[in-house]
Amino acid sequence: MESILKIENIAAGYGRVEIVKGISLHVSKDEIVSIIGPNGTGKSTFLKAIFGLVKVFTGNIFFDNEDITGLKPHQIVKRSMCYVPQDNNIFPSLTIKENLDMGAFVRHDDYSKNIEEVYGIFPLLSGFKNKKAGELSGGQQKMLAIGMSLMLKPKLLLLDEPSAGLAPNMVDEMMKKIELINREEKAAILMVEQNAKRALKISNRGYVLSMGKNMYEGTGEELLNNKDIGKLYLGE
Amino acid sequence: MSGILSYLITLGIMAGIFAILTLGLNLQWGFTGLFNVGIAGFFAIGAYATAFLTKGPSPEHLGGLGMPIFFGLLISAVVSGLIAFLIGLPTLKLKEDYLAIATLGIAESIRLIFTNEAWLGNGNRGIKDIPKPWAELSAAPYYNLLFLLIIFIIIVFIYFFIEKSIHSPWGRVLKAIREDELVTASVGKNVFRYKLESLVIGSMFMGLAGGLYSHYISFISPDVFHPMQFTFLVWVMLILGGSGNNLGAIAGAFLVWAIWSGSEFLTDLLARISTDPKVSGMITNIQSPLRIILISVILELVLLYRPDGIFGEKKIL
Amino acid sequence: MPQLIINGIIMGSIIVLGSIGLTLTYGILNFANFAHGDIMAAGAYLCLFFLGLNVPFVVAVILSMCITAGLGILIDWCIYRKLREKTSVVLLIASIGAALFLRNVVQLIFGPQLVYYSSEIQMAKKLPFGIRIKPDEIFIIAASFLLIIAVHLFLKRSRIGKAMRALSDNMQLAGVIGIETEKIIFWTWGLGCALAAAGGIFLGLEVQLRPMMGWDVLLPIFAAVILGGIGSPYGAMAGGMIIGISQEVSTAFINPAYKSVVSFMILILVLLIKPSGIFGKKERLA
Ligand SMILES: Nc1ncnc2c1ncn2[C@@H]1O[C@H](COP(=O)(O)OP(=O)(O)OP(=O)(O)O)[C@@H](O)[C@H]1O
Ligand SMILES: [Mg+2]
Repeated sequence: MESILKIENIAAGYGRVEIVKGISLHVSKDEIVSIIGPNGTGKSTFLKAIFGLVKVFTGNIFFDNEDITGLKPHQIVKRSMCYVPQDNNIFPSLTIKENLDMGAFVRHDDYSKNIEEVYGIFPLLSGFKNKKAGELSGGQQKMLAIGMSLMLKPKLLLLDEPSAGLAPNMVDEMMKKIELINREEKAAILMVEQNAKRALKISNRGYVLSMGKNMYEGTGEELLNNKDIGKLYLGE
Repeated sequence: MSGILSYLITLGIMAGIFAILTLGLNLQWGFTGLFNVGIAGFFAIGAYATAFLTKGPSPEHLGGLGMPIFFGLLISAVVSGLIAFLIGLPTLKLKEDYLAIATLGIAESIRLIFTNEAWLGNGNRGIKDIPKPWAELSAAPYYNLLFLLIIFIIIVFIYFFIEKSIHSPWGRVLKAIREDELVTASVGKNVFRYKLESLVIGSMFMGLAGGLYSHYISFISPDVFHPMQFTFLVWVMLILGGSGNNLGAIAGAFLVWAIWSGSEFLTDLLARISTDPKVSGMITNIQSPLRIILISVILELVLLYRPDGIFGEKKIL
Repeated sequence: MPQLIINGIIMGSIIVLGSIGLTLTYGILNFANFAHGDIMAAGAYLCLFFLGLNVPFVVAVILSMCITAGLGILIDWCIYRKLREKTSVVLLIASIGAALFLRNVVQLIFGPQLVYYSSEIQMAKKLPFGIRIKPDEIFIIAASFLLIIAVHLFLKRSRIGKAMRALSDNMQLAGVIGIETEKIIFWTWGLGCALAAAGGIFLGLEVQLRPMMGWDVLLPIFAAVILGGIGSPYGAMAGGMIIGISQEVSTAFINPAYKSVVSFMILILVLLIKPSGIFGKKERLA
C-alpha cells in the first residue's frame, strides 16, 4: 500500500533545544500506527513537528507525496491532515454543534453529510447538540475533539494520547472508535499512546521511541511479543 | 545665579524626584515583573501625608501638626507602602494585569477623594505653603542646589539599597519570579510574599518621592496626580532606560524629563517670540497635547525597535 | 429610585457597548487594552465631526462606527500585532501609549473644552412612577438594544462570529483546526471598536464630549468585563448593566463624583470573591 506520510530523519524542538533527534517513520493509507515510549521522550513534540506547530530543524516530511516540511498548521489542514492535541482540545464555551462547525471552518462542502457521519460515529454527541462542550465529561470531550477533526474528512489523523485520563472501560470504547474511524472514514491514523498494549492491539504497526530517536519498529503483534519492549514499556 | 544654571538645577530636582519613582518601579517591574499603573496614587499619598504632618495648623485641611520634615517623609513612605499592601492582597495571586487594573483604580480613587473631600486637602484648590527643609535658607541664592544635593543623596542611597537587595538571595528569588513564577513556586518559594514585599518597598520609594515633591514645590493639588499621564511618564522613563537596569532607570528619568520640560521650554519660547497673540495663544493650547503625543510615539518606537531600552538590562546573574 | 434605575440602564447600555469589544480582545489576545476608552472617545468626536458637515445623525453614527473600526484595526496592525510574541504586559504598556496618543490627538484637533452634539434643550417625557426620560435617552436605549441583539446574532449564527468565540476560548486550538487566527483577530478589532464608537457617541449624547471622556469610562468598562468574565461577550452585557445601574443607584447615597470609585469597589469585590467573573471560564491565576 502506498504511504500517506513519510518522515525522513527529522530533528525538531523548542527554541534551539533539540527534543526530536532524528526520527524516521511512514504510515500507509489504510494503517493505524502507534508510537509508544517513555514519558518526556518527545512523542508529543514529534506530532507537533509533523503538524507545523514546532520548528523542524532538519529532515523532511512528505504528506501525500508532497513535501510539507515547514508549512503552517492552517496550510496542512487544507491538505486534509488533522491533529488532535492531548488536552485543551475543545472550545468549552461553545456548544457541541458549534464545536463541530468550527471543525468544518476551512471546509464547507458536504457539511450536513459530514456532521451526520460524525454523529453516526459518536451517537452520544448527537444526544445533546446544544449543550456546552465544557459541561461534557472527560471522555465525551475527547470524542468531541476527534469528531471535530473528522469534520474535515482527514486522510490522516494525528492523535496525541486519545485514551489518557479515561476510565478503563472508556479506553476500550475509544480504541473501538479509532478502529471504526479507520475503517469507515478511510482515515490513516498515527497515534501516541500510554496504554501501549491496547493501542498496539488495534495497530497495524508500531514504533518505539526513546530519547528522541527510533528504537524499535514492527507490527503490533511483534512489539507486543517482544520481551525487551514488554519489560521496558508495557509494564510486564 | 545665572538663568540657565538655575533652570538646570530645577530640571535636575524634578528629574531626580522622577528617578526615585523610576527606581521604585524598577524594583517592582524590572526585577519582579509587577505591573503597577498606580504610581500617581502612591506619589499623591506620599505628597499629602507629609503635607498634613509637617505644616502648621490650618482650617483648610486635615492635620497641621508641624512635625519635622524628616518624620513627614518617613510617614509618606510608610503610608504608601500600606496602600500597596492592601492592594496587593487581592491581586497578587492573580495574573499580572489584574494588579494593573487595580492600581489604576486605586490611583483614580485617591485623586477623586482629594478632589471631592474639601475637608481633607482643600479639594481642587490644594494645599499651599508646605514647609521647605532649612526654610531659613530658602531665600539664599543656592538654596535649590542644596535641595538637589538632598535628592542626589537619596537617589544614591536607594540605588545602593536596590542593588544590594537584588544581589542578595531575596533579589534572586524576585528575578526568578519575573522569569517564571510557576517554577519558582514549585521549588517551594512563597511567591506571593516575595511579590508583596517588592510591591510594598517599591511603593514606599514612590511615596517618598511624593513627599519630596511636596516639600520642593510647597504646593500640591489633585490635578498633579492624574493617574494616566503621570504614571505613563514614569513608565516611559523606565522602559527607555531599560527595565532591570538601575542606572538605566535613573538615566531614563533624566532623559525623558529633559525631553518633557525641554519641549515645554521650546514652545514657551515660541509663544513668547511670536508677536501675534492669536498665534501664541494657539501654541499654548497645543503645547500640552503635543508633548504627550511626542512621548507616546517615543514609547511605541522603543517598544517596537529597542525593547530592552536604550541601555538594556545589565546582566546580573 | 425608579428614575435612578432608568439612568442606570442608560449608562449600562453605554458601558455594555464599550465592554463587548474590550472583553473580546482581552479574551483572544490575552491583554488588557487600556486604549479602549479612548477608542470610544475617538468615535464620539468623529461623530461630532460628521455632524459639523451636516450629515444626518444616524448616518454620522454609522460612519463613525465604520471609521473607528478601521482605526482599531490600524492600531492593531501598526503596534499590537508586532508585539504579540512578547508578554501580555508589553502589550498593556503599548496600549497605554496608544490611549494617550489618541486622547491628545483628539484634544489637539477639537480642543480641551466641553462640547455638546446639539445645543437644543430637550423636554423630558413623563412616564409612570415619576420617571422622566428624554427622547435622546430613549434613542440610546433602543439603539443599544438593537446593536446588542445584532451582536448576539452575529456571534451565534455567523461563521466569523462563532470563530471569534472559539478564539476567545482557545486560540491555539483554533489555529490547529485551520482557522486563520489573524483574520479573525482583524474582524474582532473591527467589531469591538465599532461598538465602542457607538458607546462613545451615546455617552457624548447623554453627558457631553471632552477629551478625557474615554478615561472616565475606562474603570467602569474594565469592571464590567471582569465582573462578566474576561472573554465572555455575554458576561460583558450582564456586567455592563450591573455596573451601570449600581453606579447610578449609588448616587442616592454618595457623592456622584465617586461613580467610578463604585465600579472600582465592585471590581475589587469580584477579585476577592470570584476572580473569574460570572461567566468566566478560566481561572486566570498568575
Ligand atoms: N513548550 C515547550 N517548551 C520547551 N520545552 C518543552 C515544551 N514542551 C515540552 N518540552 C520538553 O520537551 C521534552 C519532551 O516533551 P514531550 O511532551 O514531547 O514528551 P512526551 O514524550 O510527549 O511525554 P509524555 O509522555 O509526558 O506526554 C520534555 O523534556 C519537555 O520538558
Ligand atoms: Mg505527550
